[in-house]
Amino acid sequence: MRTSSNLESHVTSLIQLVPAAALLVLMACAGLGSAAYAAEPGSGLQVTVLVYSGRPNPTFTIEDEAGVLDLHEALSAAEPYADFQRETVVPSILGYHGLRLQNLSGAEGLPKVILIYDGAIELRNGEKRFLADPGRRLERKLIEQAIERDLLDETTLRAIRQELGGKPDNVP
Amino acid sequence: MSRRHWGMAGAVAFLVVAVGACCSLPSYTPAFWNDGGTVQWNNNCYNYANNKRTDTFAQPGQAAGSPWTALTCPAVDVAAVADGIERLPASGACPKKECRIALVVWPGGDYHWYRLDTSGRWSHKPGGTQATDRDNSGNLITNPETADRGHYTDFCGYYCSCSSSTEGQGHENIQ
Repeated sequence: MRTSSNLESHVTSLIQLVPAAALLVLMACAGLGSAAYAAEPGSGLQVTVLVYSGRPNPTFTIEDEAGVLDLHEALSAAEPYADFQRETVVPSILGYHGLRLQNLSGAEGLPKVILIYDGAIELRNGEKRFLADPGRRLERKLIEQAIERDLLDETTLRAIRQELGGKPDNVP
Repeated sequence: MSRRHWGMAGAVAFLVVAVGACCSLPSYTPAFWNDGGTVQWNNNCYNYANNKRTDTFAQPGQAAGSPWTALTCPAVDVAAVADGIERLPASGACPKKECRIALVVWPGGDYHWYRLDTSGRWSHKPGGTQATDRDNSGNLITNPETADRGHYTDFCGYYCSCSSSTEGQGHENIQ
């Protein structure tokens, strides 16, 4: 009787664990297709504006939960860039050539490296995936954030504006 | 140990250093630099032109303790020379199998270096991007003075670097 009661108790505990286990599996498998992102304390993304060849490039970190969530949502909503032909979205040219985002703290639901340039987004997480960035919307938004942080001097900003084909919305 | 033995040991040490620092010309082997990871993103045009991997985005003058102070030809020239990079002699040829490299400047913006490979063509590595032998217009670089360099409008001059036939193993002291 006692044994039977113990067995019943174990089975009940296991059954109670099933939904939690299922949730964990779902979160692990979700990737960008879901809203599984949850910002961990200290998590963030290091954004590098790729504009220089010799001197170090301007860099800032998106640390706030809202900022990381915004990016996560933008990537989740982006369409695949099915016919992207080149090896990488970042070209080997002098002058402004895009943005590199590094998920240094392993923020959940985002790839390790994201490259953005000229209407294309490259996600690197072991393998590569390409997404579209129509109107260079995400790229412009991140450049605006670099401007807000006063990271780009006049000479650099002029070159980036020229390459983006117009000034970012909030540029004075 | 006798004075004679010390003399021999010194000679051997000198030979080791001399052979170790023997300059040779690089071939165009971009695969070493274009790994999409640590090597590619942490080595810039100065690393590539000198064919020396440091993983520090090396800066002219840094190793000598006097990094560049302005983004002009004279300022970057002085910093690079402090590192031991030699200006091309008037003879127009680099001594001791050193590799010819070239400096250009985006005035007030940045600097950039090219290197001459055994192919007889020039190649470069714009920042953390992949090394390439093409310019901004997609043309093979036969002459850095006439190549499409975008904003890097000032051609500063040619220099000589003690490079290596092994990629990433150049002998100049850069950091």
